[in-house]
Amino acid sequence: MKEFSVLEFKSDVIIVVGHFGCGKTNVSVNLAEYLSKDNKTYLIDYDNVNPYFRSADSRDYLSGLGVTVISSDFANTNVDIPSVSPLVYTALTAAQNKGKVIFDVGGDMTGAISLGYLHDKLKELHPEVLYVFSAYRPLTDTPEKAYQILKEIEASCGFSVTALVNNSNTGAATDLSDIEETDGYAKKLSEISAIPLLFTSYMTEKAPDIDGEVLKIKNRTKILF
Amino acid sequence: MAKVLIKGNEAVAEAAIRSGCRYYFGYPITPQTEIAEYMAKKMPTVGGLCLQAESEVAAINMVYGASASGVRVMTSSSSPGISLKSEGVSYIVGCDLPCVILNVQRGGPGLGGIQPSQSDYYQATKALGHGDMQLFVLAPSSVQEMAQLTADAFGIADKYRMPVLLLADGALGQMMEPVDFDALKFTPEPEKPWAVNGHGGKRKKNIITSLFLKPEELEANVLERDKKYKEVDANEVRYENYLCDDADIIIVSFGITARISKAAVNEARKQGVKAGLLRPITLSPFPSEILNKLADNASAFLSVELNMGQMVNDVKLATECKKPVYFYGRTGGSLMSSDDVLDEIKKISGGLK
Repeated sequence: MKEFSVLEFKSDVIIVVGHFGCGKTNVSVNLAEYLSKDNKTYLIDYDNVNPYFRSADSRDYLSGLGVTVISSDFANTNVDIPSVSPLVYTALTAAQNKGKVIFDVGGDMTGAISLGYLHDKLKELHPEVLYVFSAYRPLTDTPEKAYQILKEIEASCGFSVTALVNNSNTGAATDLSDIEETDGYAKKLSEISAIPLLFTSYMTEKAPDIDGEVLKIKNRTKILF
Repeated sequence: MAKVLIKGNEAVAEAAIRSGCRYYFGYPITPQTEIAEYMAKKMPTVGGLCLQAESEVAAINMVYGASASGVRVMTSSSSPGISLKSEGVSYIVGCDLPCVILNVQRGGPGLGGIQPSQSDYYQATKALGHGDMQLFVLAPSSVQEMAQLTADAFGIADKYRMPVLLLADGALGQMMEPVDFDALKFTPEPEKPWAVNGHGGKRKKNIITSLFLKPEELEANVLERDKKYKEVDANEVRYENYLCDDADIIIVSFGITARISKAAVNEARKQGVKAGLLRPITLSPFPSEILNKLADNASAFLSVELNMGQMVNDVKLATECKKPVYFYGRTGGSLMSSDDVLDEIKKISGGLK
């Protein structure tokens, strides 16, 4: 087991996709925190599917770290319509000048489809496309089901996934063994998809004892009450 | 799938499928669309049908037809969509048909907003439809309970041949909690000899209708149904009694606000105020008897709701106003904090001294 470093990212643009509710937003917010230490970082809330829990919830916190959060003007309002902020282009221009840009994309193929709008522009930047998964989500409770959703997302957005992120957790109740038990699942998904596993996230105090890289993350999900 | 991390909406969908529900008819509306999403993915894998109807009105009438044919069926929506379903719900009641309806409440009136609310309490418990009618209304308070009460709802609906409404809210629908599906208890589907599913010339034909040509026949039908409601009142009341027995101030709160209120009760106890929480799990039938009993020893009641004060009137009726009944609420999609509730407890407790 070795700690993953965000310095390992080869691209300045990181696109985070995955099944609905797998933890894309929390992974994205944490990656933005790590990247912001050495880089001008932009986090793009590109979720046009779920209006409830989104990167824009962390705007105040991330602004304090110097991260620019870009989201739909309608995020966290009662206007429940999908829209993309024109500021996304500003961030992409910045990426060409060595800034770091993270796209927190909506869940499943439905959420990924809006990436098509930026496809040609993004392609030039050779983005890293991370597929986040959780073995504890009911519709991805086997590697085969997670692979099926991965293929649907690729078909919908026109990008190939470049790396996998194991974000298996059961919320605040997660213990080390819950994470370690999913390592076999993660390796199987990597095998059937022929896509490398980049890291396994953990919110526990200690790192899981697994063969591969791990990344400590914090729970940045909006607290409702 | 022993332990999963799941949204309230998804938990309802999964529990419904495990309860033997093979027909889902709905129309998308935030904050409950995950149910249709989940059903669309899962129903085909279990030989079921998930159909997006052309409107909420169409969806509830598909439920009407499917239920008449004797299958377990459900629909779901959020506040404005539930209003649209009310005509169909009344017909289903008039035909004594079982079904499960989920309302993931959002702010209103009108199009309102998409954030959580409990402002459809009156609609759910008094009149989701015309005529002398009642629904059985269950109010879950956690994601695990969203799943268990869904399973219970199918059993209750079949037992009494009446629609069961699950009254949730945007917070419960959207938040994720671990759920143990293996711990759920299910009620097997009974025989339905009344179903209109083809007599094949082998039995007398069944007729399901809410139309009665003679007033005395309709009256007899309504009286017969009223006996059922009395039986429900006598046998099916459910509530959680949290530290009420020695409490001075009893909070009455359901669903998501009961979670917030429970934290306030714990803090009040730490600060020396004897507070308790009576959480109705069935809103209809309402836990009137226990509230009336508690009113003999408690000093005051506080109804905490995400609306402008609706259940508070049922608390007043239940306690026959033996003790003062106060109200605290937020509306429009805003949630209160446990500190807000604690402040209200202290205000009442200060006034009592």
